[in-house]
Amino acid sequence: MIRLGPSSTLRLRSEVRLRVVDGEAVVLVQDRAVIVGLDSVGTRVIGLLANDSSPQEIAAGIRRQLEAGAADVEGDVLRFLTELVSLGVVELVDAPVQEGAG
Amino acid sequence: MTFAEHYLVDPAQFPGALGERHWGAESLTLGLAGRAFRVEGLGENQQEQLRSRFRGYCLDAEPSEPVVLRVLRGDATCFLPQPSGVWVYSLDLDHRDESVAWAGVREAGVLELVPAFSASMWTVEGAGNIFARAVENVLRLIVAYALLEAGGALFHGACVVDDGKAVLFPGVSGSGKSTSSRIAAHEGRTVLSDDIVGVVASATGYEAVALPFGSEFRFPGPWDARFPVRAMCRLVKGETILVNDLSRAEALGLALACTPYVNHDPARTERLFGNLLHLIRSVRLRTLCFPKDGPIWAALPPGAL
Repeated sequence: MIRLGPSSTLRLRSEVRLRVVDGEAVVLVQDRAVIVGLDSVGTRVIGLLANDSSPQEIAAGIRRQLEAGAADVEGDVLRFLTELVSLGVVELVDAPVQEGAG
Repeated sequence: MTFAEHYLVDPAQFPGALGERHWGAESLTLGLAGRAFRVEGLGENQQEQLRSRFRGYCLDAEPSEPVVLRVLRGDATCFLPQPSGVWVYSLDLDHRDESVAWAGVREAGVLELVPAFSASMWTVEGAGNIFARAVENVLRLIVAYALLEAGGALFHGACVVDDGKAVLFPGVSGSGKSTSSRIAAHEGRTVLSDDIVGVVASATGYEAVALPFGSEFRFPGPWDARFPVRAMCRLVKGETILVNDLSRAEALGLALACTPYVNHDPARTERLFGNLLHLIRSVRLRTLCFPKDGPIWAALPPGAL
């Protein structure tokens, strides 16, 4: 599995199409025949991903939007983005952090 | 993966290498989802077989601009043999801006979408259930594109008519479409289909259209029957009857997952999203939990679906 770092650069894959309905995104990954539903927080993450951005930046954006404490937001965002990478929703622009590194 | 690599000997030569030989000079015109479809190039036995399969949907009068489906002989040497062992069968699709090509076991074809719909299919088997099934599969594909163009969609789903209104149950295999359809029929409801449902936009909302596609239940016709859609419903198998609201996002995801042929066509995603969003804003959205032995309809509170 690809391991993301806090400063990895990510973007939506070009094969992804999505619609936001009542604050929740429905994501279609065209080339993988995958459909993903996101809750309101997941939809915010996708919204913050509109430009090339890092998990660190997205976590900061989530903290601002939700007025959440710093504690676990970055870890949660990293795990969520890792899942989106495995589903083909998001791709890594730079090289992944190697397993076992650091 | 290359288009048709599991089905054609030389996909790069498709469709040219398959030739232009018809099975015969007969044709049959069908009324499907508000449009006329003329199936051409049939032998007499094939025509009769399709007439029997699609009884209730055959048109006597020749419409002015039918969608033409040419049925051609497939050269067996151009096709790979059927895979052995356990395998999952699905048509291989190649979506292009102006057409869609498909290939399956000893059959293949192309649907041209512009300037007008027209299709050619090649099949090695010219008789029996395999032939009729191949033609039906292609008609399903063409109808999916025709409905999309008309502002609607073809759903993998069941549809039940209750009090003159249609309730749509989109669902993939195993979701409970067949079981709920059997219960509905047992309770005296009309089952439009337990497998494939067509929905079109109308002046007042959406209508479920008669189609001759289904597994155990397929609507016998007439071909122009339509029923206003009252609700779209996610099926959940459970112990007791329970009805809950379904969010519009969940409904969109469900609908998107259940629109075969077109939901992975990159050239038509925007149109599909648009049609489905309009539909889910026009009908009631529900989740129905139901016991496998029923009842459903007799146990529902008034106005629940």
